[in-house]
Amino acid sequence: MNRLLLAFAFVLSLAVPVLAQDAVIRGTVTEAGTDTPLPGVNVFLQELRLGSATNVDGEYEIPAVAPGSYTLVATFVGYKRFSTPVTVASGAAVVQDIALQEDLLGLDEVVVTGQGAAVESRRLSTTVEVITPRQLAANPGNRLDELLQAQLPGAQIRFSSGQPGTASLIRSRGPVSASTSTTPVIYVDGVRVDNLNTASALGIDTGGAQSSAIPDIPLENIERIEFIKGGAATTLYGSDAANGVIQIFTKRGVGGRTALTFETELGWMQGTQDFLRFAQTGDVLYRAGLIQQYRLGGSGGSEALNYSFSGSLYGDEGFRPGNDQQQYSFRTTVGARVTPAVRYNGTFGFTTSDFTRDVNANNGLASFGNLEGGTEGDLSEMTDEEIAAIGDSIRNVVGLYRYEGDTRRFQTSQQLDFVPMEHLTFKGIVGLDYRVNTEQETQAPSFLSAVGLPPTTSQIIRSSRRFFGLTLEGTAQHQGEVGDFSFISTLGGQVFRDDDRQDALVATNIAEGTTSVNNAADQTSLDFQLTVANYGVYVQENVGYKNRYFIEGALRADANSAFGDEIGLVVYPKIGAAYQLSDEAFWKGSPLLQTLVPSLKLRTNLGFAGNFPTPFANDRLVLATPILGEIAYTFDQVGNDDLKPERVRTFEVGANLGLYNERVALEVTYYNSRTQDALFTVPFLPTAGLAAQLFNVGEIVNKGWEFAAQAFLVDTRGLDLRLTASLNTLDNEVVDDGGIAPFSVGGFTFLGQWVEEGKPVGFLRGGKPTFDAEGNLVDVERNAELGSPLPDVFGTFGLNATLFDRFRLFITADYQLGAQGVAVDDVLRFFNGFPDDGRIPTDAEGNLQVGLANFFDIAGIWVEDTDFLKVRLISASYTVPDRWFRNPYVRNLDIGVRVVNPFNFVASSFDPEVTGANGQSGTGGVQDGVNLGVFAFGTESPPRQFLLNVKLGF
Amino acid sequence: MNTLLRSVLAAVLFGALLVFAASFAGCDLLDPRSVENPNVTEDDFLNFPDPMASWLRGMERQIALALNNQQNDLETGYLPAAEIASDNYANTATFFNQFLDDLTIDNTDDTFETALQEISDLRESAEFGLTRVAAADENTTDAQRAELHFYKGMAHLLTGEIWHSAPADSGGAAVPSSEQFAIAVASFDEALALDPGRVDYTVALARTYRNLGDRAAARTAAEAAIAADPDFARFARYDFTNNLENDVQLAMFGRPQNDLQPLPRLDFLDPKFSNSAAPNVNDDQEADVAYIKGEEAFLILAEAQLADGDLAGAQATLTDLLGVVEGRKRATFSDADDPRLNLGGSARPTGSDWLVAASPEAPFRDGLMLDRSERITVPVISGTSVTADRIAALAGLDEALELLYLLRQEIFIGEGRRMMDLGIKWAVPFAELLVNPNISEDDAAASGLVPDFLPAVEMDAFVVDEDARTVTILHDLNRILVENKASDLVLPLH
Repeated sequence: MNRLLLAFAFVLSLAVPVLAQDAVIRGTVTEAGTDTPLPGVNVFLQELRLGSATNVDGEYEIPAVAPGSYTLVATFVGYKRFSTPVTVASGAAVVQDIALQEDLLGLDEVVVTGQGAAVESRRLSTTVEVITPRQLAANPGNRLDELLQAQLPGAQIRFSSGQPGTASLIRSRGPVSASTSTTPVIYVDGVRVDNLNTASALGIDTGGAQSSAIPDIPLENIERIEFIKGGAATTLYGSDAANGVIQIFTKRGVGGRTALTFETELGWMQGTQDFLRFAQTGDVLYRAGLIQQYRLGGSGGSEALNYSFSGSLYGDEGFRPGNDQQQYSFRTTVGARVTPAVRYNGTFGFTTSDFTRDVNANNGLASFGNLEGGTEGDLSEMTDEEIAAIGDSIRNVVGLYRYEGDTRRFQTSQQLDFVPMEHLTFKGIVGLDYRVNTEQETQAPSFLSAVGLPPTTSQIIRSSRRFFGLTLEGTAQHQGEVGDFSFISTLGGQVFRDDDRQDALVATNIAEGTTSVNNAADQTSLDFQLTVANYGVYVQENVGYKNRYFIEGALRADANSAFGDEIGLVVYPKIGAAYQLSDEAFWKGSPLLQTLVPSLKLRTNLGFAGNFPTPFANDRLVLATPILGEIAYTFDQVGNDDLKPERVRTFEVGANLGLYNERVALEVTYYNSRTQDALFTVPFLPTAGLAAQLFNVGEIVNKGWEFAAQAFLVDTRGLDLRLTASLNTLDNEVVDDGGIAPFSVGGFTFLGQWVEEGKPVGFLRGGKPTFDAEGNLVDVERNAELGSPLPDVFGTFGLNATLFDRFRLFITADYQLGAQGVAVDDVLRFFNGFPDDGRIPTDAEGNLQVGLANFFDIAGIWVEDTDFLKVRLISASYTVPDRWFRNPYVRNLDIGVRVVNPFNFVASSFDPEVTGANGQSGTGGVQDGVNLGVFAFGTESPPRQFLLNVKLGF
Repeated sequence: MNTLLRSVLAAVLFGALLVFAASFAGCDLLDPRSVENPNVTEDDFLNFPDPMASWLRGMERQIALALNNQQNDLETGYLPAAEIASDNYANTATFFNQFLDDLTIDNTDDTFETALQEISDLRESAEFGLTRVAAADENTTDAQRAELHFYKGMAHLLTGEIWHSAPADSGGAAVPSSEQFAIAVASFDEALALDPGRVDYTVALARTYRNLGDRAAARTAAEAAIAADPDFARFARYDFTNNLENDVQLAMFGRPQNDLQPLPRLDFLDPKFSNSAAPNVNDDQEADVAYIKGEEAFLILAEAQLADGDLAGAQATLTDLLGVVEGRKRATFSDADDPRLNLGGSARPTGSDWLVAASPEAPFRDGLMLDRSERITVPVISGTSVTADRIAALAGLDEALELLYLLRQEIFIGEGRRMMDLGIKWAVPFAELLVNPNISEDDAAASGLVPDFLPAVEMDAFVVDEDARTVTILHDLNRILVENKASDLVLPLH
């Protein structure tokens, strides 16, 4: 019992004498086949959990090792786990070099996200998508969604606007909810961060562009990113994870020689003309803008105390006036062995971001939207002089308008690992994310005069949002083996709290030239608060037999401040099984199987995950609003004591296959998710006169197949060429509407997004006209289903080639099929008298046939298929041979070029992606509301970027 | 004890410690603040000092919502849609109801749902005030109770005017308009009993009796109102800053498209609501809407006089009415950015040199259209093109009745009343039909009502002669109304 007592002593005092040891293990880790040194590889003695990471030259050193026999293990994302026995004599220096094999199948990868603590991928019945350092190096974007775009085989990431700091749509297995967005929860080193990816409650509405918290998550110094989809994989996250979880892991300190890298990137961006109705819009508004970025990173220290840091300066001028941004960020990580059994790791990240924006949609103040929507007339019919005059006028207006935003964000994760004895690990994490975002729109009197509005309506609107997120998590993990059985037991507790405070200041009739709300005739203010606290405990058991049969089961129980008073703990169970069939003797004994299918893992699971309800929606309230200087009380939400989270039950079955001597890795999964107790904002019967209230009444099903493949086409010493591809099917349906009337989750009165039994979430509903051969309107189906915002099929393509280990080419693309969107800009052109040719039937004289028809009845003619294939990135780099520069200080030199958003192939007349981040795209948003992306509405697409990159290692 | 067992035991003990720490003591120490809703709960409100005064201000806000507001880009009040459903305005752009322009009345139309909800909210709020708030506030006065009865009466009056059949309470069976009006009469009577002599209650009572076809009672109330204060007007007040928008102002003036375009013969009255419509405009330029005004008492009295065959009496009443209208405020401002477009983008006639005929048979009149390149002057409460000479020249009862309906049309423009004069009634919305157990899709209430003598699609159609600078409206609905005065659907006093 002495060791156990000792363990308790560790917990209680953490004061344990450190005994000096003098043996040391060192060596170099390289990639098998190419002999390239691998930095950042974790090398450790399994029994002691003692180890370090390799430095830039691939070297490691484990000092202070007590004499004995150990298992030396090396792990690195994207490579197979290496292990070998080592015996260390007192005072000896053991050299153990290691060659790591690439791991296409990922079975040996160690996964943390969704497991409480580290578990080997082969033991899991669920899947995890990992972005490797190699992928990160090819696409050094400075915002998370850009970095992940077309890189996650099972998720879609679409930008709602080309403007800086704006929201995106991140979606994997279809919308599980008709009341919240599809954005996954995001963790950085175990700490939950602000992931608001829709308009904020008091944010400034500039049409289609809505601010997001994703673009300024501090991204410096990332080692890898894990993504798990909602379902059994996210059960341990409880009431917060039905949309999946993205976790970012930052680089740990690396012992050994200090290494520095300096990277500079220069280039330009230009507005894409691919989707413009009028080429003249581009002539008037677009111009190339400079992009520059400088990054300095370094690492060093020893096994006992090490550090790593990275900082960057980024700036661009935008692709049009009024769209520039600057971002500065840094991250520092410090690791220390506090005692032989306790390891500390602390990471601090900070980002500051400043940007300007223009107004979108058909707002009277907009520039792009008004040109494309035809407010200025049919540009294609105008003379060069007329275009020049419009250009001068618009640029004058753009110059007078100001929309400025800034974000300051601090994020930290503090982690203690305690290994009191072999096979037993404790982990404690405390962390926070503090984000302050301020945006200010100034409509000066001179600006309003220029757009023909009374200068007395001049305004400053300042919107501020402060987010404070706190995460506390403690986990105990025990690994044990009895005969052929192995056990991983995990027990943990997690607390998180979000505090979202917003203010809006509005100053009206302002002084010319001021940016202060003080200098105005009238000032008003508003605030908004959203606070939620969640307390969860979980237990998980993973049992293996002969290292090929695995079963796992887990349970998480949550209490949450957003639940109604009648709801106590909500419990989420999961159960799963995995079977490494190819490890059976008969399989290994068959040369044919070994060649064709050398690896086959079967897996299945059933698990629950949840979405907690909108905070405070459970309370019964009276609305107190100021009216003309006095306070007025009226009915507000009636509250719901039985409000509880949406629970998503997901069943999965699938296989991981290694084919043709492991040259092809294929992952196949069928999933069926059923959202029980789906939260619908239920309208009461109109004669009750009450505001709609959130109730758990619906049921939504998402199901489909997921295929992800990776193939080595050529794998010789000179050329390594591999392709990746994924295909996901999606079938979404509201299977039970709880007996309530269909309700709208966004869009317009003439054409909205609705929720109705038997239809996909947010399907398009409106008038569907039928025309005869002569183009006469003969019939109209009212409230017809006009399309779905959700694709039937989506996926990614990638190409990754390496030539002589010096030249690297990286291409990513993604696609979708079977979704629809609405050409709202053309609705505006219709009102301005020149709709797109052919959209509306005409008679023999060329007159529109709908002159007297009800405009609502022809809404369907603006619905288009939004199939697309977009090449997101072409990145090429070259490692310059050191004989070419012969500098004693410069260790390596890489030169690269990168083109972002080079090619678009689309079925629609508009950019199918730039269709809003909120259901109510372009017409005002709802914080964290349904986001499906349907309405193309006066918003610029993400620009094309051309960049030259130079990277120096010292 | 073997190693495994010891390890498992250790794990369990540590785990228990950890869970204990995380779920109890730890939370309080590390996250000591409880989660507290910053807003006002119902119980808090009822325990405030003098909640009744605050509740009545809320009632004022609620009637503004019920008439005319938009929230999250949805029309919540009935007013803009009612204007579209009449011949006053055509909807030539996107964001307001399009079905009603050609009188397509479909119970899935959102407008009906939000309008019924807001009007029902007005009724339920009045009931809540009369019961819960009055019980919680011992200082409640009779005048405050009278106001609550008035608002309750307004809710029933509006329900009866807009729907031919609808529930009179939450989840109730549909009842005909006459029952809604009967409850409204009782409510206004209670209001007058508690606060005698109020002109607004009296005008509301006269309006309700007119709807009921009770000529004598309507006349008595109208005469009482005229005697008390003929210039009276009660407004629904809007407040842009605090998200209480005059939606019809947005439709006729605010939006760049100026979605609602008037019938050319009413051009001189457009836009009644603008951000310059002083003095009925507050600081932030949101115009208020008169929903009870003295003019209505004259119009009811004159209509009753005509029904009684008293042409001379009606002429005298209408001439007096002109005096009231003449005294109402006007606003002068620029409306040059109104694009005056038809649906589909073609130009509508605009300019003061146009002549307008009310129908192909009617004479062309000038002065009905304004030159919008210059600053314009428009009435903001009431205006009319009718002159004392035209009233004096009236020779017959029907001719007088036709002119009276033109006066009603002009005086009430933008206030949502014309649709009611035309006998158009909405359907009870689908959301009610689906959930309310006492009403079904087979009920008459599930459908709207459009008198078959109305030229639905062509109601606001006109022919333009560019060369002659003339506009000829295809149908003079005031004439059609008088021709069909025997119908139960229109002209209730006849």
